[in-house]
Amino acid sequence: MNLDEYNISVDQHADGMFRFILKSIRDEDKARDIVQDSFEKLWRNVENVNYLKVKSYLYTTAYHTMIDLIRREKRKEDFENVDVRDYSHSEHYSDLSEILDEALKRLSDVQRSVILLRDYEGYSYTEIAQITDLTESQVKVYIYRARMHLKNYIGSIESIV
Amino acid sequence: MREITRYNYEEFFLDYLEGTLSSLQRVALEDFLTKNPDLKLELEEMECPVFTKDSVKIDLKSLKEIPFRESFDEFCIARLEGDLSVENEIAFDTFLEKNKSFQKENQIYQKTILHADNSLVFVDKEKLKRSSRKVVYWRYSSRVGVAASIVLLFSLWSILYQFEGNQSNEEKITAKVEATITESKEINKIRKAIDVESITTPKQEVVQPEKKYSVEKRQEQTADNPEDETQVENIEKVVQRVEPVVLSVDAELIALTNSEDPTIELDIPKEENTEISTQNNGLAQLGMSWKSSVPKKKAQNSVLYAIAKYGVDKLGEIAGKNVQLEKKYDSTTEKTRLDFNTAGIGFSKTIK
Repeated sequence: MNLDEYNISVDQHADGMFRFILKSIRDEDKARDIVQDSFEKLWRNVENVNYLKVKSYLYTTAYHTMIDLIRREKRKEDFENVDVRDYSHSEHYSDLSEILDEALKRLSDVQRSVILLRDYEGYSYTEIAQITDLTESQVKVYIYRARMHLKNYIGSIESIV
Repeated sequence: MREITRYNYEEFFLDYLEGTLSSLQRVALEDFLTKNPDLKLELEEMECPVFTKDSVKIDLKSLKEIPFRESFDEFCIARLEGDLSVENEIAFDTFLEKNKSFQKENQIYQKTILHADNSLVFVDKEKLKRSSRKVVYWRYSSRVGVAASIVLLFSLWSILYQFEGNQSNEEKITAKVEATITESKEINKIRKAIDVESITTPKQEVVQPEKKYSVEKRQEQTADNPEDETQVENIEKVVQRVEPVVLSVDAELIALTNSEDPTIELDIPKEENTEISTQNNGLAQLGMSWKSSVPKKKAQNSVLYAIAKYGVDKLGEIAGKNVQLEKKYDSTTEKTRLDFNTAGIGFSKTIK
């Protein structure tokens, strides 16, 4: 990969990576730092990275940096431990995106990451598996569970409204 | 035609039930049953009901039906993710059309698709971009930085050994002081201690109060004896002759004692006394001792670390990149490690 391709990669992927990380950790400064770190690592290895695979490289780097950060801060929150009845005490929502945002918070880190990669970036099971170091089957299971949790959350909120 | 006996009648019974016996065989079988009425009951038991085509009605549609109801959630998600085959997709859509009660559930699943908020953008993209000039500069500076750091570390390492070699300074001090003190050997009767605070350089920091032994205090003890007064003067002479600069090397406290009169004890705590004598036998033989308040090795390490860190930090500034030298304590392994890190190279050393 050459200099021009690197700069094109910045234009093409910086925003998407920022959105993905921001939605995952909900901290703008840290999301920005992770994006910067990822591009810094890319720049250090610019000669060894294939331009055609740069997106995967960037998302993989950003994902692992983010997971390290989450582990350090012990912010892990497992959706399975959340009682669905708690939803009834949630604040009022004005639209679906807010409800989804709230539901997304309640997913486990892995579930949230895989579904964001799937929906935001349109990655296949195989590509998500490569980024997250999971098997395709695991990715599929996580996505199915995440969808079910999101559906249950939306359904419970709608029934209340 | 074979004859029907009690040993082969089952064969004929089955053929009879299947309707494959010839008319002659059937007559022969009826004749046999007349002669063996007990077997007639067995034949009746062997008769099975025969199903005709009209008697059974199979619902072919039910056999082809996919279990959408039983696994509805999975099919909804699979439809959403595009995991269903074309045939199954059509079948599932048809199922939903016919079963309105399932449609609402499916619609909620449709809502779980996340849409990126395009208003969220990374504002500092220009800062992420690079120019070719910087590439060359960075590579050059980083390599120079790494090389300079390594040279610096080796230099500091060699200085460390030099410090260790300078321990002979103590012996020089001993020699000089010995030469001077020999002149005042006549004051052997009373043990004397000299406050060395006054002869140390300003660089020396702390001398603990319990380690101070003033000449004045000793003067009070010897005030009654005129000989003692002359001895005190001799001691002061000794103090003046000792070169302060020489004595200041690594020493915070020097105590001169009369080794020939061991009965009189100094106010030094016993454990410290022992340590001093074992640390420096040459001075102990002369009746002198010194002790740093900081353990020697620790002091060397901390000074070396401070110098190295300063040098590496400065190199990092010159290179414009992150070059680090850090001392870290790992609580899990309970060890202290020295880490050197820069772009492309890094090493770690357990130091304690």
